[in-house]
Amino acid sequence: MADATSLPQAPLPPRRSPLDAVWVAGDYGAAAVGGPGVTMLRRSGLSSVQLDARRGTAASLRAAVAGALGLALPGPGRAASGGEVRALWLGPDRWMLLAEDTFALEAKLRAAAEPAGGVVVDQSHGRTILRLSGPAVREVLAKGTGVDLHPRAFAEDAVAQTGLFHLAVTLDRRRGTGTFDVHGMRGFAQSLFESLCEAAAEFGYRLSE
Amino acid sequence: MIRIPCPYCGPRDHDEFSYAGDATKVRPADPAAATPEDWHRYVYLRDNPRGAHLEYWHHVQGCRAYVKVLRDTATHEVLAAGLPSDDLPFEDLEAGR
Ligand SMILES: [Zn+2]
Repeated sequence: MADATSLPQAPLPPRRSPLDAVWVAGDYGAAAVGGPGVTMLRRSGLSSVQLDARRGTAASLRAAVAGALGLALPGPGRAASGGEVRALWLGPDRWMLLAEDTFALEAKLRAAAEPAGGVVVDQSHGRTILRLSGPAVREVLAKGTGVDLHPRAFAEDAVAQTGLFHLAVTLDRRRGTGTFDVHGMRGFAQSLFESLCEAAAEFGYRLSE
Repeated sequence: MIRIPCPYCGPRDHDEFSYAGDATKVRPADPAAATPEDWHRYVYLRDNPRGAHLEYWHHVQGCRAYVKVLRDTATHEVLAAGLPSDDLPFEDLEAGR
């Protein structure tokens, strides 16, 4: 049988957000003095690539990733940025790495990590990433998760995998006032979006283009 | 709501976890030498204690690690939590009862 990877393949279509059908930029909910409490933005054009260390290879994997990408893989509950790549800790010896699609993260990571014992899986098509910012973001997220999001407990570069409105998400606390990236499963994107809109309505929210 | 202190993630609501069974059961060391009764005891027989109970929980919506939890089945108080390889003070509590 021919090696399938050597056969001509139909070109993959560009990735589309599952929220394209429902996303109409504008201001919604309560009219808040001083602007909307929450601004939501779709983060598109990003590659999400999962990296796992095989048993006993975490140290060599860290060194290989640091050498190739200039990035120190973070410890439990933390994110780290290096160069054009951001890494989120997902679990013991497991990370999600993110970069612009143009960076060709999967190929670079595969070349660096696989010889060092890493397992690389591109998850880009399975995830939807929303960026929330604004003065009411913490209150909105707190309606849906039991994780303490106060800056004392959840500072910049803190990461949590948790349930948000009962949907599995990864929360990434970015720099900037109340700025969180919410990574959800693509198939639940509309459900997550509707829950966030409902929770944000009392504070007023803006959908950015 | 029970809050379980995951050794990796910190305190989380128990609905992020799924219950993964009695942590006092030890798989027969030599499967070939184990009798059907040994397997029956390991797979099926469980006590239903009132009080301290050692159990596994799977942090399925978080870090996806298995954690060991010492929980009071009467009050739902979580007395200790750790990695599956950790020794939690279960025997001490048993002895003191
Ligand atoms: Zn955990």
